[in-house]
Amino acid sequence: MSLSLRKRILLLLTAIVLVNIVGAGVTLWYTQRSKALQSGIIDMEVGAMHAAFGLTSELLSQRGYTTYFFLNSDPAWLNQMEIHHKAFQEQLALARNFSTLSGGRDILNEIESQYIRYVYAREQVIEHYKNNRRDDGARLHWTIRERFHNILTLCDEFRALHEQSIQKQRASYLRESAMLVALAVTGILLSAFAGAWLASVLVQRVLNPIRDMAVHTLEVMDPGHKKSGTKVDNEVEALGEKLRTLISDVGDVQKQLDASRESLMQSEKLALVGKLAAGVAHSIRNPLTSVKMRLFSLERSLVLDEHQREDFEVVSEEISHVESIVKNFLEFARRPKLRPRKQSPSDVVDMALKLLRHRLESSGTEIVLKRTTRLPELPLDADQLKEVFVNLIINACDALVTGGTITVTEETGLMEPMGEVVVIRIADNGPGIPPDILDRVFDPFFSTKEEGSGLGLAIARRVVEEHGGWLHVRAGDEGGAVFVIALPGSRRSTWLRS
Amino acid sequence: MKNIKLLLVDDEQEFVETLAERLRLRDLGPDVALNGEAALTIVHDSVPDVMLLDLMMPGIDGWEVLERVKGQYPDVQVIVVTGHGSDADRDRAIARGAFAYMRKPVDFDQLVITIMAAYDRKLAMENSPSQAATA
Repeated sequence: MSLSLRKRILLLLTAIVLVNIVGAGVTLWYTQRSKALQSGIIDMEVGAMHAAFGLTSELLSQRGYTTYFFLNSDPAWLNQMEIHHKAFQEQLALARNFSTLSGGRDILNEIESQYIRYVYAREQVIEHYKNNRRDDGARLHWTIRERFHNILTLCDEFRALHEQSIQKQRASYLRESAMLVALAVTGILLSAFAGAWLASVLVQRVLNPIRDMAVHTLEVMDPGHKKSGTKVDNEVEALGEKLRTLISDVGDVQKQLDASRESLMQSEKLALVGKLAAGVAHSIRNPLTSVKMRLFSLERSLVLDEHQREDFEVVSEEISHVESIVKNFLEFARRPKLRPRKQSPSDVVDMALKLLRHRLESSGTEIVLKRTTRLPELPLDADQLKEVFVNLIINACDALVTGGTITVTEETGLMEPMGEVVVIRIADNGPGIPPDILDRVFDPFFSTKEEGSGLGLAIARRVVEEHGGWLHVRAGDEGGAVFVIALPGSRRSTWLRS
Repeated sequence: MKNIKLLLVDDEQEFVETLAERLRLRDLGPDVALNGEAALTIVHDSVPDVMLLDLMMPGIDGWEVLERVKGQYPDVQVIVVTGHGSDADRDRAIARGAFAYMRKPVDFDQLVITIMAAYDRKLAMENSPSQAATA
């Protein structure tokens, strides 16, 4: 069916209402009509009938008196006849009032004219009798007798006419009531049918889907309820409830989506900046290398006084600094792939410490290495991991402005479910990292140092993660910061980053 | 990694608070529940990535929390941290889907490493659900 659900329901409702209104209207009309029939038409007809009977009986009552008068000439008979004559005329007037049929009127007119003539003739007869002209009277008497019978016949006709009319009315009334019954039955059937249809449409297309929706949302959104078999009493309410939850969930998801979009944009920006930086760094590196080489050869050929030498040294130092920044950028942008080789991380720690010994000594920093046994061998890229340690130790050293202690701790732990885990801690007893920036120190380009590239810790974390390990920082137990590097041992689980 | 959503469930308030304090310092910013009921409510409201769960609690105990959470949100990584657990408990916890089983007192660095590893696993599960099912 091409009609929409809404239209169908409205259509059915309209049909039911229309059928009921029409039914009620017809019933009302019929009641009014039968009332009119009762009080008006029937009354009139019955009155006419009464009058007709009256006419006949009054007429009949007049019959014998002329004869009786002829027999004993008693005027009392004539008085009696006069009474009935008057009564007949009254009945006639009555009949005129009641009779609305055109045929009836005609008959009444005929009756009246015949009657007048009859009465006139009768009076003549009586006159003859009174004057003792008995033979004349008797002759005329015979003729009025015929006239009298004519009137009687007419009265009967009048009565028959009204009887017929009543019959007709009754028949039409019966016909109408039969029609009305048929109409009412049709109406009831129609409205029952439309009602049933509406009910089925409501149940199948509205209530059942709502119930299903309510039950399904309940199952989907709250799987725990399925087992407990919660009954849905008011589907619409339940659905509304679920919808509200859904809307709030959508809000949450939207928020998360916004957040992840934000972070994606951030990463895209970073990637772009990285590429740009790499391009710039690459372009700078070649001229910088040649400047460095020339400076190196100049240093050997030039004869400088002390002042000039100092300037010269500052220049070389700054050039080295620029070079290291460029190198960091390049490393960050295009990390060389890991070239893992089985080796003990302790070797790497040693390499880093050896490399930094000079610097640590010059800044007055004490280094403490806590090692019970050498760490087990595991696949690692020594060059890159060494950079991580160097980076972290230099950071610690920079934090200890006026000297202090850097403690490097090596440990092996069995940590389910990662298996054997190598943990290397690099702790300093400096001022520590302010808590509000603690979680940002690994972000690329985040730096608190004026000359930093902000990439050291970002690179360190990435290298450790590429090894399948974890790098985090926390506040030390006695102040300062502790960087914790954890590397999974030989028993690497399948779920680790590949 | 700083966005790990963490939930601590332990009725030992002092332990929870100390741990929460130290973890908050690292901006892991954990939610805290002192009993099983509260834990389940929090899990329903906002599903955590990683959950630290004590087994011995009054009311709904850790076992039930573990079962319900893993039943409804298999991606949530549960690290069981308990004061008095046997090896049988450990096996049982792992069999029921716990990511790790640690005994008190826990080494803070180990705990953080475990949390980070658990988070790695959660990410791996999200990225390849089929693999996670067999892992």
